Amino acid sequence: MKKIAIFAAASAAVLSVPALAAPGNQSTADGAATAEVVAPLTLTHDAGATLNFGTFVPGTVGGSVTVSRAGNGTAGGDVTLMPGSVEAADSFSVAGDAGRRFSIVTGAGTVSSGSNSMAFTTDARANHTLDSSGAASFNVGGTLTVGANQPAGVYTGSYSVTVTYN
Amino acid sequence: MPDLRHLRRGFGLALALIPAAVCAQPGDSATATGSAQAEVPELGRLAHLRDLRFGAFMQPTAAGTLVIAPDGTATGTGQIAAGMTIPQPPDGRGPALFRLDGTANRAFVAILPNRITISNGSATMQVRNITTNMRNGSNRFDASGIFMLWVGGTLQVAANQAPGEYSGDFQVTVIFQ
Repeated sequence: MKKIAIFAAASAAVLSVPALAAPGNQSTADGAATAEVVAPLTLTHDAGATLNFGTFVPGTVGGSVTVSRAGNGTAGGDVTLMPGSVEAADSFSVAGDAGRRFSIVTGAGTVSSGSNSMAFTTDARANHTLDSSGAASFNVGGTLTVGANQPAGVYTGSYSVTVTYN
Repeated sequence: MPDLRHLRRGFGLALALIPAAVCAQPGDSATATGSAQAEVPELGRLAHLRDLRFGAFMQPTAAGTLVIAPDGTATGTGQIAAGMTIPQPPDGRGPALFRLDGTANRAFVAILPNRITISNGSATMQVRNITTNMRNGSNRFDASGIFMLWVGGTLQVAANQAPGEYSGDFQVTVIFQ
């Protein structure tokens, strides 16, 4: 706030310069100085949200589990989702400058259980726009690659998400 | 009029602020970490001992069903009831049997298909209402770590179902709890 206050004073100074710099000249003109202070982007991983590939039987050949941005899971290859398996998309909240557009980049990662692991890729919209109150949210889906006879276990992992003003 | 010192600062400030909107600066971008998870359940071992056998019956002119219960009871409806008393193939008629090898007294869940399609190569029939000798809810292995799983079902026979020998596979999965 302090910097903004100083700048406002400076704007007044700029406007008055042409009038003072032209002694003897009776015409005056208004100039303008502009600046835009953009609220910083903040990105928050929604509490309790996780990209959940559910519970599945890997099969002898292996395959994949894909979770859509809407959170629907489908199994591919030799993988079978268990009855009662719950899949879910991850979700994030963004705050920043109202109406401003930003890009979303999500990384890949691995989930691991002890020494066993599975790789996954992620999927999110490429761009989004902050609403009139400067808020936005988006979901992240992904595809998990499941190995043949993937060992049993509860696998967990992480990935990075970056949002940047366009 | 403001003094020059203020003016200079004003210009400097304006130049500093405008690039902030177009260049990568602190606050222009933000990064967070997402989480991911998956679960692969521990699988029990399972041996297939007998097929689910509906046996032989006469081709009906009206649709009917043939029910094999997990305890081996066979019940026909409509023309199937009369038509199923004909001589049977060597392996007879009866429920499927699987032996589950687990851990003594450990709880497990067996997963069966909702329906099975059997085919003679061109025509098909469906087996629905798959039933087992498991209780609803949790089941446990006995003290020897074995559970004998019997599987029955209801065969849907169409009117004038094409004659032939029909077969199809189904999968049973056992997981520990």
